[in-house]
Amino acid sequence: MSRSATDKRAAVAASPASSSRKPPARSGELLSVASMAMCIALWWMLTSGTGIVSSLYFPSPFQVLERLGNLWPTLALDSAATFVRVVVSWLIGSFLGIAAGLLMARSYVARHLMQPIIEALRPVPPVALVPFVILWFGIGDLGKIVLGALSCFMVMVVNTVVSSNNVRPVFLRAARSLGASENVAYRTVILPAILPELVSGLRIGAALAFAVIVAAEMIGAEAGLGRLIMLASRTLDTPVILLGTVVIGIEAYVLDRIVRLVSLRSTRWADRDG
Amino acid sequence: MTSVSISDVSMIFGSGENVVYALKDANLEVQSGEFVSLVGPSGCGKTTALNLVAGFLSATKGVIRIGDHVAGPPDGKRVVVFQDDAVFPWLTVRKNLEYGPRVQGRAASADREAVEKYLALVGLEQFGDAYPKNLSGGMRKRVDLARAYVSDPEVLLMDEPFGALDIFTKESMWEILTTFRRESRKTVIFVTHDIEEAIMVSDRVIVMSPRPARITAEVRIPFAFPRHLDARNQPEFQALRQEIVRLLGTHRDE
Ligand SMILES: Nc1ncnc2c1ncn2[C@@H]1O[C@H](COP(=O)(O)OP(=O)(O)OP(=O)(O)O)[C@@H](O)[C@H]1O
Ligand SMILES: [Mg+2]
Repeated sequence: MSRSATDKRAAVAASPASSSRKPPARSGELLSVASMAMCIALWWMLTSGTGIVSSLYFPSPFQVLERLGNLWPTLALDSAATFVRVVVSWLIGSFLGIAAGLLMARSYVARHLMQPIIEALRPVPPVALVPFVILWFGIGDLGKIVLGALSCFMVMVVNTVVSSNNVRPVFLRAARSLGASENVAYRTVILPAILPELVSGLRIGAALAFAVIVAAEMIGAEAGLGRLIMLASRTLDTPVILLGTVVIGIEAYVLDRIVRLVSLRSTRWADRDG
Repeated sequence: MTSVSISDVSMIFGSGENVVYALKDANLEVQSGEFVSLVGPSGCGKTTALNLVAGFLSATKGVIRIGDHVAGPPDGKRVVVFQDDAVFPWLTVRKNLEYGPRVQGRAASADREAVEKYLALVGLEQFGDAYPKNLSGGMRKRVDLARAYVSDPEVLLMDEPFGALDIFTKESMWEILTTFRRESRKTVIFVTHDIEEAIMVSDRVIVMSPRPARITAEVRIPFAFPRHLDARNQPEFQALRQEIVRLLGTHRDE
């Protein structure tokens, strides 16, 4: 009797029918599109339409489109430069951070060797290191990649250690008692258990890499969106400032979506619904 | 199926002034295929005893034997079912059941059959591909039990496995244990605080004293399997229950 009751409860939870209480799927998207349209209309009205805001402070949509028309070859180069730096530094830094974090969570020696260094570096905002990085590595790609990688490394190492330590010990014990060796238990328990947290860390790291790399480009670079925005601001070229800013947003969004899409399957077990 | 023997085992935690004897010269013999329950006051060392047999701890003194072998670190021959939910949430129900054979490097067709058999025995055929988050607590506990049996250990160790369940769910677990007993007889050491539960599932109930635990008494349960829930109303059952309560109580008053 009790068994069939619990079965029914779970069957409801497992079936897609549980989403029936949410509003229809499309309505959310409609609302989002509407709010975007409102913003653009408001932008047009405040600048071209009424002239309340002077183009000295904020460009009108037409000015932006016009500048896009003659600027796009440079813009494309700068966008590519920034994006490549971010992706490369993010991949290298995150990989090293996860590896170091796993090592620290696993080995007493590694933990005590690396902990003080990481704790000392952690409170320093990566942007504060830009002058040193330029001094040591110049204004080329290398310095920016080092800076972005360092930021991602710090995020992932802390994230990996904390989430590994939060895995309930009962899972490891269950795995060991079912016949897994220590290494196998680690690989089949800790890794899958922390995957959702790793994905959150990767997303935070990607956003941070954009922030520090654009900041570094503003201070010194041969190409990049940061440099583009900086140069435009010297001549009060507000359409270009806006274009650069929007492209950064788009690039960050695209990278974030890619991470989410790639990780979707492997973290579904932890999703609240689905 | 193997016997378990605990001889003169002591377990000390801490050092200096903080030493705690969790077990002192404990002895217990469990026959091959026997289902033994341990009942005793909280903190008397039941979990410690189970962890020693499981190989999670090693004894300060004394020997534990699984059959003819001295118990070492965990090796898949002694599977533990904990009170805490230990079903892996990142694996589907079926993958959870397959976990034991998989990490032991077995991939026999017998194991695949066992997965489906135990899935059916616990009534979760339709949930093989579901993730544990979509199951109720009672269903997850059934997955846990099925996973332990699919792994086909020589000894099963259960530490208050149903301690967090409501009485109706508990009763369905007793039925499952009885079914499993019919399908595949195992040597089981089962820790519980529920005397009724101990009588329902065991061949023998061991009553322990407060820490450091000694065996105060042992009670054989004479009822044949399968035992029905109604048996609880029989005078013989109630007499046994009162006997165990009394045996536990002797030490409560000291
Ligand atoms: N790792 C440890 N370090 C120090 N003391 C411990 C440790 N594990 C257990 N103890 C002590 O050993 C004694 C026995 O503990 P144990 O967990 O085996 O009791 P138990 O019989 O399982 O109790 P309960 O019924 O509450 O689960 C307790 O006094 C406990 O405080
Ligand atoms: Mg205990």
